[in-house]
Amino acid sequence: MQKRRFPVLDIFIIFIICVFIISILNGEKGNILAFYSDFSIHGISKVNKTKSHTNRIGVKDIIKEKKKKDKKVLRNFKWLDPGRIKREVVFFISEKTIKEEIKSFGINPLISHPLYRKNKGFKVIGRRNFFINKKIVEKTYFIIDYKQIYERNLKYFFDLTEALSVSADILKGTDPMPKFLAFVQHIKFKKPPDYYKGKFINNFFTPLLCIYEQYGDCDSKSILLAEFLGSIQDSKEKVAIVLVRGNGISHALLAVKRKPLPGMTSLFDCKKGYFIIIETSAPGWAPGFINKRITDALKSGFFRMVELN
Amino acid sequence: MYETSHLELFSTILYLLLIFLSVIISVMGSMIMITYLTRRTIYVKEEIVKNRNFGIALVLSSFIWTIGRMCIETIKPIMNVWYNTYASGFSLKSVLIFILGILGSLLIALVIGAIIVFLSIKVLMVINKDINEWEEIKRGNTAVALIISITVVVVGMFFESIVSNLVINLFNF
Repeated sequence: MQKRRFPVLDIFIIFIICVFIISILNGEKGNILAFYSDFSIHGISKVNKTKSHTNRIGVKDIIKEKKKKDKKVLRNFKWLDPGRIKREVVFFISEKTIKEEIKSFGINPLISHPLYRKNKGFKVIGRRNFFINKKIVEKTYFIIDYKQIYERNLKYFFDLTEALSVSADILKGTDPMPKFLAFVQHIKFKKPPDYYKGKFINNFFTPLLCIYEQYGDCDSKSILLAEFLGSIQDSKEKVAIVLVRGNGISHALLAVKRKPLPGMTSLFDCKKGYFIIIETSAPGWAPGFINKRITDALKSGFFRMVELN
Repeated sequence: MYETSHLELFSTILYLLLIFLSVIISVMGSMIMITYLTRRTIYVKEEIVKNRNFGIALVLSSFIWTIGRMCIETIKPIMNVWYNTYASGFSLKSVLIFILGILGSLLIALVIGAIIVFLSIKVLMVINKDINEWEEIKRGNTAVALIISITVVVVGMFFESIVSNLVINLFNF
Protein backbone atom coordinates (compact mmCIF):
# COMPACT_ATOMS: atom_id res chain seq x y z
CA MET A 1 0.00 0.00 0.00
CA GLN A 2 1.44 3.35 -1.11
CA LYS A 3 1.77 6.05 1.55
CA ARG A 4 -0.39 9.03 0.84
CA ARG A 5 1.63 12.17 0.08
CA PHE A 6 0.67 15.59 1.42
CA PRO A 7 2.58 18.22 -0.64
CA VAL A 8 1.15 21.11 1.39
CA LEU A 9 2.55 19.63 4.59
CA ASP A 10 5.99 19.22 2.98
CA ILE A 11 6.06 22.86 1.90
CA PHE A 12 5.01 23.96 5.34
CA ILE A 13 7.81 22.01 7.02
CA ILE A 14 10.39 23.47 4.63
CA PHE A 15 9.07 26.95 5.37
CA ILE A 16 9.43 26.46 9.14
CA ILE A 17 12.99 25.18 8.70
CA CYS A 18 13.93 28.24 6.61
CA VAL A 19 12.52 30.63 9.21
CA PHE A 20 14.43 28.83 11.95
CA ILE A 21 17.69 29.02 10.04
CA ILE A 22 17.27 32.72 9.29
CA SER A 23 16.49 33.56 12.91
CA ILE A 24 19.57 31.74 14.15
CA LEU A 25 21.77 33.50 11.63
CA ASN A 26 20.39 37.03 12.45
CA GLY A 27 20.39 36.53 16.22
CA GLU A 28 24.16 37.03 16.50
CA LYS A 29 24.22 40.31 14.55
CA GLY A 30 20.99 41.73 16.02
CA ASN A 31 17.98 43.07 14.16
CA ILE A 32 19.24 45.88 11.86
CA LEU A 33 15.72 46.79 10.78
CA ALA A 34 14.79 48.01 14.31
CA PHE A 35 17.22 50.92 13.94
CA TYR A 36 16.40 51.81 10.36
CA SER A 37 15.62 55.48 9.97
CA ASP A 38 15.59 58.02 7.17
CA PHE A 39 17.21 60.47 9.58
CA SER A 40 19.99 58.22 10.81
CA ILE A 41 23.03 60.00 12.10
CA HIS A 42 26.33 58.27 11.96
CA GLY A 43 28.50 58.95 14.90
CA ILE A 44 30.05 57.39 17.96
CA SER A 45 28.20 54.17 18.48
CA LYS A 46 26.93 52.87 21.76
CA VAL A 47 27.72 49.21 21.43
CA ASN A 48 24.98 47.06 22.81
CA LYS A 49 25.89 43.37 22.55
CA THR A 50 22.34 42.13 22.90
CA LYS A 51 20.85 44.42 20.30
CA SER A 52 23.06 45.93 17.68
CA HIS A 53 26.66 46.65 16.91
CA THR A 54 25.90 49.19 14.21
CA ASN A 55 27.33 52.69 14.57
CA ARG A 56 23.96 54.43 14.23
CA ILE A 57 22.42 56.55 17.05
CA GLY A 58 18.92 55.41 18.12
CA VAL A 59 15.62 57.00 17.01
CA LYS A 60 14.89 58.24 20.53
CA ASP A 61 18.06 60.33 20.49
CA ILE A 62 17.04 61.85 17.16
CA ILE A 63 13.61 62.87 18.51
CA LYS A 64 15.26 64.54 21.51
CA GLU A 65 17.50 66.53 19.14
CA LYS A 66 14.51 67.68 17.09
CA LYS A 67 12.57 68.76 20.20
CA LYS A 68 15.41 70.99 21.29
CA LYS A 69 15.35 72.68 17.88
CA ASP A 70 11.55 73.45 18.10
CA LYS A 71 11.62 77.24 17.91
CA LYS A 72 9.19 79.52 19.72
CA VAL A 73 7.87 82.71 18.26
CA LEU A 74 7.45 85.74 20.51
CA ARG A 75 4.42 88.03 20.20
CA ASN A 76 4.17 91.18 22.31
CA PHE A 77 0.90 93.05 22.89
CA LYS A 78 0.32 96.39 24.59
CA TRP A 79 -3.18 97.22 25.74
CA LEU A 80 -5.29 99.29 28.13
CA ASP A 81 -7.51 97.53 30.62
CA PRO A 82 -10.97 98.92 31.58
CA GLY A 83 -9.34 101.01 34.31
CA ARG A 84 -7.07 102.69 31.69
CA ILE A 85 -4.00 100.96 33.13
CA LYS A 86 -1.34 100.18 30.50
CA ARG A 87 -0.56 96.50 30.33
CA GLU A 88 1.76 94.32 28.31
CA VAL A 89 1.63 90.61 27.57
CA VAL A 90 4.11 88.37 25.78
CA PHE A 91 3.00 85.14 24.17
CA PHE A 92 5.38 82.35 23.21
CA ILE A 93 4.02 80.21 20.42
CA SER A 94 5.72 77.16 18.99
CA GLU A 95 6.53 77.40 15.28
CA LYS A 96 5.46 73.80 14.88
CA THR A 97 2.02 74.66 16.29
CA ILE A 98 1.63 77.51 13.86
CA LYS A 99 2.62 75.31 10.92
CA GLU A 100 0.08 72.70 12.06
CA GLU A 101 -2.60 75.35 12.30
CA ILE A 102 -1.84 76.77 8.84
CA LYS A 103 -1.96 73.24 7.42
CA SER A 104 -5.34 72.49 8.95
CA PHE A 105 -7.15 75.64 7.82
CA GLY A 106 -7.55 77.00 4.32
CA ILE A 107 -8.60 75.45 1.01
CA ASN A 108 -7.48 75.22 -2.57
CA PRO A 109 -10.45 76.84 -4.34
CA LEU A 110 -10.11 74.49 -7.32
CA ILE A 111 -10.98 71.51 -5.14
CA SER A 112 -14.68 71.67 -4.41
CA HIS A 113 -15.29 68.34 -2.69
CA PRO A 114 -17.33 68.99 0.48
CA LEU A 115 -15.35 66.48 2.58
CA TYR A 116 -12.08 68.18 1.69
CA ARG A 117 -13.51 71.54 2.61
CA LYS A 118 -14.97 70.15 5.83
CA ASN A 119 -11.54 68.91 6.89
CA LYS A 120 -10.05 72.31 6.19
CA GLY A 121 -12.45 74.32 8.36
CA PHE A 122 -15.32 75.07 5.99
CA LYS A 123 -18.92 73.92 6.08
CA VAL A 124 -21.37 73.52 3.20
CA ILE A 125 -24.62 75.33 3.93
CA GLY A 126 -26.43 74.98 0.65
CA ARG A 127 -26.43 74.07 -3.01
CA ARG A 128 -28.11 75.68 -5.96
CA ASN A 129 -28.32 74.83 -9.65
CA PHE A 130 -27.75 77.48 -12.28
CA PHE A 131 -28.40 77.22 -16.00
CA ILE A 132 -25.30 78.66 -17.68
CA ASN A 133 -24.38 78.22 -21.38
CA LYS A 134 -27.00 75.55 -21.90
CA LYS A 135 -25.62 73.53 -19.01
CA ILE A 136 -26.76 73.00 -15.47
CA VAL A 137 -24.02 74.07 -13.11
CA GLU A 138 -24.23 73.32 -9.39
CA LYS A 139 -22.92 76.01 -7.08
CA THR A 140 -22.06 75.15 -3.48
CA TYR A 141 -22.34 77.74 -0.72
CA PHE A 142 -20.05 77.32 2.22
CA ILE A 143 -19.04 79.25 5.33
CA ILE A 144 -16.32 78.90 7.87
CA ASP A 145 -16.99 76.17 10.40
CA TYR A 146 -16.46 78.32 13.47
CA LYS A 147 -17.34 75.54 15.90
CA GLN A 148 -14.72 73.19 14.48
CA ILE A 149 -12.07 75.90 14.58
CA TYR A 150 -13.01 76.86 18.16
CA GLU A 151 -12.78 73.26 19.40
CA ARG A 152 -9.52 72.58 17.59
CA ASN A 153 -7.76 75.72 18.85
CA LEU A 154 -8.74 75.27 22.51
CA LYS A 155 -5.73 73.08 23.23
CA TYR A 156 -3.32 75.87 22.18
CA PHE A 157 -4.90 78.46 24.43
CA PHE A 158 -4.49 77.08 27.94
CA ASP A 159 -0.97 78.51 28.27
CA LEU A 160 -1.83 81.72 26.44
CA THR A 161 -4.83 82.36 28.71
CA GLU A 162 -2.65 81.74 31.75
CA ALA A 163 -0.11 84.31 30.50
CA LEU A 164 -2.87 86.83 29.80
CA SER A 165 -4.47 86.30 33.24
CA VAL A 166 -1.12 86.93 34.91
CA SER A 167 -0.46 90.11 32.91
CA ALA A 168 -3.97 91.41 33.64
CA ASP A 169 -3.73 90.61 37.39
CA ILE A 170 -6.90 88.54 37.27
CA LEU A 171 -7.55 86.82 40.58
CA LYS A 172 -9.01 83.32 40.70
CA GLY A 173 -12.77 83.35 41.05
CA THR A 174 -13.20 86.86 39.61
CA ASP A 175 -14.79 87.52 36.27
CA PRO A 176 -12.04 87.76 33.64
CA MET A 177 -14.31 88.80 30.79
CA PRO A 178 -13.96 92.63 30.98
CA LYS A 179 -10.15 92.43 30.90
CA PHE A 180 -10.00 89.73 28.22
CA LEU A 181 -12.45 91.79 26.19
CA ALA A 182 -10.31 94.92 26.59
CA PHE A 183 -7.26 92.96 25.39
CA VAL A 184 -9.01 91.62 22.31
CA GLN A 185 -10.49 95.03 21.51
CA HIS A 186 -7.01 96.58 21.52
CA ILE A 187 -5.69 94.10 18.92
CA LYS A 188 -5.41 95.92 15.60
CA PHE A 189 -8.58 95.75 13.54
CA LYS A 190 -7.63 94.87 9.97
CA LYS A 191 -9.30 92.58 7.48
CA PRO A 192 -7.27 89.40 6.84
CA PRO A 193 -6.43 88.68 3.22
CA ASP A 194 -8.44 86.35 0.96
CA TYR A 195 -5.42 84.08 0.53
CA TYR A 196 -2.85 83.20 3.16
CA LYS A 197 0.22 81.06 2.42
CA GLY A 198 -1.37 80.08 -0.89
CA LYS A 199 -4.66 78.94 0.58
CA PHE A 200 -8.09 80.53 0.48
CA ILE A 201 -9.10 81.59 4.00
CA ASN A 202 -12.17 83.76 3.29
CA ASN A 203 -10.80 86.81 5.19
CA PHE A 204 -10.67 84.90 8.46
CA PHE A 205 -7.78 84.21 10.79
CA THR A 206 -8.06 81.34 13.23
CA PRO A 207 -7.42 82.47 16.83
CA LEU A 208 -3.82 81.30 16.85
CA LEU A 209 -3.09 83.05 13.56
CA CYS A 210 -4.75 86.18 14.91
CA ILE A 211 -2.23 86.20 17.78
CA TYR A 212 0.62 85.29 15.41
CA GLU A 213 -0.16 88.03 12.88
CA GLN A 214 -1.28 90.49 15.60
CA TYR A 215 -4.36 91.65 13.78
CA GLY A 216 -7.83 90.42 12.89
CA ASP A 217 -11.32 91.46 11.91
CA CYS A 218 -14.65 91.08 13.71
CA ASP A 219 -15.14 87.31 13.42
CA SER A 220 -11.46 86.48 14.02
CA LYS A 221 -11.43 88.57 17.20
CA SER A 222 -14.79 87.19 18.39
CA ILE A 223 -13.54 83.60 18.15
CA LEU A 224 -10.28 84.67 19.81
CA LEU A 225 -12.19 86.04 22.80
CA ALA A 226 -14.28 82.85 22.89
CA GLU A 227 -11.03 80.82 23.06
CA PHE A 228 -9.73 82.85 26.00
CA LEU A 229 -13.03 82.47 27.86
CA GLY A 230 -13.30 78.77 27.06
CA SER A 231 -9.75 77.83 28.09
CA ILE A 232 -9.96 79.12 31.66
CA GLN A 233 -9.72 76.33 34.22
CA ASP A 234 -13.16 74.87 35.01
CA SER A 235 -14.80 77.21 32.55
CA LYS A 236 -18.54 76.72 32.07
CA GLU A 237 -18.96 79.67 29.74
CA LYS A 238 -21.36 78.98 26.87
CA VAL A 239 -20.48 81.06 23.84
CA ALA A 240 -21.86 81.60 20.37
CA ILE A 241 -20.93 83.75 17.41
CA VAL A 242 -23.59 86.06 15.99
CA LEU A 243 -23.24 86.81 12.28
CA VAL A 244 -25.11 89.97 11.31
CA ARG A 245 -25.93 90.60 7.69
CA GLY A 246 -28.53 93.17 6.72
CA ASN A 247 -29.33 96.90 6.79
CA GLY A 248 -26.05 97.47 4.96
CA ILE A 249 -24.06 95.79 7.74
CA SER A 250 -21.87 92.71 7.62
CA HIS A 251 -20.50 92.09 11.09
CA ALA A 252 -19.76 89.41 13.66
CA LEU A 253 -20.22 89.58 17.41
CA LEU A 254 -19.75 87.22 20.29
CA ALA A 255 -22.68 86.09 22.45
CA VAL A 256 -22.08 84.78 25.96
CA LYS A 257 -24.74 83.04 28.01
CA ARG A 258 -25.16 85.29 31.03
CA LYS A 259 -27.91 87.23 32.75
CA PRO A 260 -28.18 90.66 31.15
CA LEU A 261 -27.80 93.60 33.51
CA PRO A 262 -29.70 96.93 33.11
CA GLY A 263 -28.89 98.63 29.83
CA MET A 264 -27.30 95.58 28.16
CA THR A 265 -28.30 94.28 24.75
CA SER A 266 -29.08 90.58 24.76
CA LEU A 267 -30.63 87.84 22.66
CA PHE A 268 -33.16 85.48 24.13
CA ASP A 269 -33.40 81.86 23.04
CA CYS A 270 -36.53 80.06 24.24
CA LYS A 271 -34.61 76.89 25.08
CA LYS A 272 -31.24 78.23 26.12
CA GLY A 273 -31.99 81.56 27.75
CA TYR A 274 -30.27 84.94 27.56
CA PHE A 275 -27.07 85.63 25.66
CA ILE A 276 -25.39 89.02 26.09
CA ILE A 277 -23.82 90.49 22.99
CA ILE A 278 -20.17 91.51 23.01
CA GLU A 279 -18.44 93.87 20.58
CA THR A 280 -14.79 92.93 20.01
CA SER A 281 -13.90 95.23 17.11
CA ALA A 282 -13.06 98.47 18.87
CA PRO A 283 -12.06 99.53 22.39
CA GLY A 284 -14.53 101.12 24.81
CA TRP A 285 -17.50 98.74 24.50
CA ALA A 286 -18.44 97.03 27.74
CA PRO A 287 -20.05 93.57 27.53
CA GLY A 288 -23.65 93.96 26.42
CA PHE A 289 -23.20 97.28 24.59
CA ILE A 290 -23.11 97.58 20.82
CA ASN A 291 -23.63 100.15 18.10
CA LYS A 292 -27.21 101.30 17.56
CA ARG A 293 -27.19 100.30 13.89
CA ILE A 294 -26.27 96.76 14.84
CA THR A 295 -28.99 96.73 17.50
CA ASP A 296 -31.49 97.71 14.80
CA ALA A 297 -30.20 94.94 12.52
CA LEU A 298 -30.59 92.42 15.38
CA LYS A 299 -34.12 93.68 16.10
CA SER A 300 -34.97 93.21 12.43
CA GLY A 301 -33.76 89.61 12.58
CA PHE A 302 -30.85 89.98 10.15
CA PHE A 303 -28.56 87.63 12.02
CA ARG A 304 -27.58 84.01 12.48
CA MET A 305 -26.31 82.55 15.75
CA VAL A 306 -23.77 79.71 15.65
CA GLU A 307 -23.12 77.98 18.96
CA LEU A 308 -19.50 77.18 19.66
CA ASN A 309 -19.91 74.92 22.70
CA MET B 1 -21.20 81.55 37.47
CA TYR B 2 -19.70 84.79 38.77
CA GLU B 3 -21.18 86.72 41.69
CA THR B 4 -23.11 89.65 40.18
CA SER B 5 -25.79 90.40 42.78
CA HIS B 6 -24.08 93.63 43.97
CA LEU B 7 -23.44 94.77 40.42
CA GLU B 8 -27.06 94.05 39.51
CA LEU B 9 -28.38 96.02 42.47
CA PHE B 10 -26.19 99.10 41.90
CA SER B 11 -26.78 98.99 38.14
CA THR B 12 -30.55 98.87 38.60
CA ILE B 13 -30.45 101.79 41.06
CA LEU B 14 -28.28 103.82 38.69
CA TYR B 15 -30.51 103.01 35.70
CA LEU B 16 -33.67 104.07 37.54
CA LEU B 17 -31.94 107.23 38.78
CA LEU B 18 -30.93 108.16 35.24
CA ILE B 19 -34.47 107.63 33.95
CA PHE B 20 -35.86 109.75 36.80
CA LEU B 21 -33.35 112.53 36.13
CA SER B 22 -34.18 112.39 32.42
CA VAL B 23 -37.88 112.91 33.18
CA ILE B 24 -37.22 115.87 35.50
CA ILE B 25 -34.79 117.53 33.08
CA SER B 26 -37.08 117.06 30.08
CA VAL B 27 -40.15 118.55 31.84
CA MET B 28 -38.31 121.44 33.49
CA GLY B 29 -36.27 122.12 30.37
CA SER B 30 -39.40 122.22 28.22
CA MET B 31 -41.14 124.68 30.57
CA ILE B 32 -38.10 126.97 30.52
CA MET B 33 -37.84 126.74 26.71
CA ILE B 34 -41.47 127.57 26.04
CA THR B 35 -41.33 130.51 28.47
CA TYR B 36 -38.22 131.84 26.74
CA LEU B 37 -39.55 131.33 23.20
CA THR B 38 -42.89 133.02 23.88
CA ARG B 39 -41.02 135.89 25.62
CA ARG B 40 -43.31 135.47 28.57
CA THR B 41 -46.37 136.59 26.59
CA ILE B 42 -48.03 133.24 27.21
CA TYR B 43 -48.61 131.88 30.73
CA VAL B 44 -48.38 128.19 29.99
CA LYS B 45 -50.04 126.85 33.15
CA GLU B 46 -52.91 129.29 32.84
CA GLU B 47 -53.45 128.47 29.18
CA ILE B 48 -53.44 124.73 29.78
CA VAL B 49 -55.41 124.57 33.05
CA LYS B 50 -57.88 127.48 32.74
CA ASN B 51 -58.27 127.99 29.02
CA ARG B 52 -57.75 124.32 28.10
CA ASN B 53 -55.59 125.40 25.18
CA PHE B 54 -54.88 122.16 23.34
CA GLY B 55 -52.34 123.83 21.04
CA ILE B 56 -50.06 124.93 23.88
CA ALA B 57 -50.28 121.45 25.38
CA LEU B 58 -49.31 119.94 22.03
CA VAL B 59 -46.29 122.19 21.64
CA LEU B 60 -45.16 121.60 25.23
CA SER B 61 -45.51 117.84 24.75
CA SER B 62 -43.30 117.95 21.67
CA PHE B 63 -40.64 119.88 23.64
CA ILE B 64 -40.80 117.31 26.46
CA TRP B 65 -40.54 114.47 23.96
CA THR B 66 -37.51 115.95 22.18
CA ILE B 67 -35.54 116.86 25.29
CA GLY B 68 -36.54 113.54 26.89
CA ARG B 69 -35.23 111.59 23.86
CA MET B 70 -31.92 113.43 24.12
CA CYS B 71 -31.64 112.51 27.82
CA ILE B 72 -32.54 108.86 27.16
CA GLU B 73 -29.77 108.68 24.54
CA THR B 74 -27.25 109.41 27.30
CA ILE B 75 -28.31 106.42 29.43
CA LYS B 76 -26.64 103.68 27.38
CA PRO B 77 -23.23 105.38 27.15
CA ILE B 78 -23.38 106.13 30.90
CA MET B 79 -24.19 102.48 31.70
CA ASN B 80 -21.36 101.40 29.35
CA VAL B 81 -18.88 103.51 31.32
CA TRP B 82 -20.39 102.29 34.62
CA TYR B 83 -19.73 98.63 33.79
CA ASN B 84 -16.18 99.43 32.65
CA THR B 85 -15.56 101.41 35.85
CA TYR B 86 -16.96 98.57 37.99
CA ALA B 87 -14.73 96.05 36.21
CA SER B 88 -11.62 98.15 36.83
CA GLY B 89 -12.40 98.80 40.49
CA PHE B 90 -13.48 101.97 42.28
CA SER B 91 -11.37 104.79 43.63
CA LEU B 92 -12.41 108.26 44.84
CA LYS B 93 -11.07 109.80 41.64
CA SER B 94 -12.95 107.39 39.35
CA VAL B 95 -16.23 107.87 41.28
CA LEU B 96 -15.94 111.67 41.12
CA ILE B 97 -15.13 111.55 37.42
CA PHE B 98 -18.11 109.27 36.85
CA ILE B 99 -20.53 111.55 38.72
CA LEU B 100 -19.21 114.59 36.86
CA GLY B 101 -19.60 112.64 33.65
CA ILE B 102 -23.28 111.92 34.40
CA LEU B 103 -23.98 115.57 35.14
CA GLY B 104 -22.08 116.64 32.03
CA SER B 105 -23.99 114.15 29.87
CA LEU B 106 -27.39 115.31 31.09
CA LEU B 107 -26.32 118.93 30.56
CA ILE B 108 -25.25 118.11 27.00
CA ALA B 109 -28.61 116.42 26.38
CA LEU B 110 -30.49 119.46 27.72
CA VAL B 111 -28.45 121.98 25.73
CA ILE B 112 -28.71 120.05 22.47
CA GLY B 113 -32.43 119.46 23.02
CA ALA B 114 -32.93 123.17 23.64
CA ILE B 115 -30.92 124.12 20.55
CA ILE B 116 -32.94 121.72 18.39
CA VAL B 117 -36.25 123.07 19.68
CA PHE B 118 -35.10 126.67 19.17
CA LEU B 119 -33.76 126.03 15.67
CA SER B 120 -36.79 124.11 14.44
CA ILE B 121 -39.18 126.88 15.58
CA LYS B 122 -36.92 129.60 14.18
CA VAL B 123 -36.82 127.85 10.79
CA LEU B 124 -40.64 127.71 10.72
CA MET B 125 -40.87 131.38 11.68
CA VAL B 126 -38.43 132.36 8.95
CA ILE B 127 -40.37 130.35 6.36
CA ASN B 128 -43.78 131.76 7.48
CA LYS B 129 -43.03 135.42 8.07
CA ASP B 130 -46.66 136.48 7.65
CA ILE B 131 -47.85 134.29 10.52
CA ASN B 132 -47.21 134.92 14.19
CA GLU B 133 -47.23 131.32 15.39
CA TRP B 134 -47.47 132.06 19.13
CA GLU B 135 -50.38 134.43 18.66
CA GLU B 136 -52.19 131.85 16.59
CA ILE B 137 -51.60 129.19 19.24
CA LYS B 138 -52.81 131.58 21.98
CA ARG B 139 -56.02 132.11 19.99
CA GLY B 140 -56.52 128.35 19.95
CA ASN B 141 -55.32 127.50 16.43
CA THR B 142 -54.59 123.77 16.89
CA ALA B 143 -53.44 123.29 13.29
CA VAL B 144 -50.46 125.65 13.71
CA ALA B 145 -49.60 123.97 17.01
CA LEU B 146 -49.66 120.56 15.32
CA ILE B 147 -47.26 121.70 12.59
CA ILE B 148 -44.84 123.16 15.13
CA SER B 149 -44.99 120.02 17.29
CA ILE B 150 -44.31 117.62 14.44
CA THR B 151 -41.45 119.78 13.12
CA VAL B 152 -39.78 119.78 16.56
CA VAL B 153 -40.24 116.00 16.97
CA VAL B 154 -38.87 115.12 13.52
CA VAL B 155 -35.82 117.39 13.83
CA GLY B 156 -35.19 115.85 17.25
CA MET B 157 -35.25 112.36 15.73
CA PHE B 158 -32.54 113.35 13.22
CA PHE B 159 -30.22 114.65 15.92
CA GLU B 160 -30.67 111.89 18.54
CA SER B 161 -27.51 109.95 17.66
CA ILE B 162 -25.30 113.04 18.07
CA VAL B 163 -25.98 113.06 21.81
CA SER B 164 -24.78 109.50 22.40
CA ASN B 165 -21.60 110.15 20.36
CA LEU B 166 -20.90 113.36 22.30
CA VAL B 167 -21.41 111.58 25.64
CA ILE B 168 -19.04 108.76 24.64
CA ASN B 169 -16.39 111.34 23.70
CA LEU B 170 -16.99 113.21 26.95
CA PHE B 171 -16.14 110.12 29.00
CA ASN B 172 -13.13 109.35 26.81
CA PHE B 173 -11.80 112.92 27.25
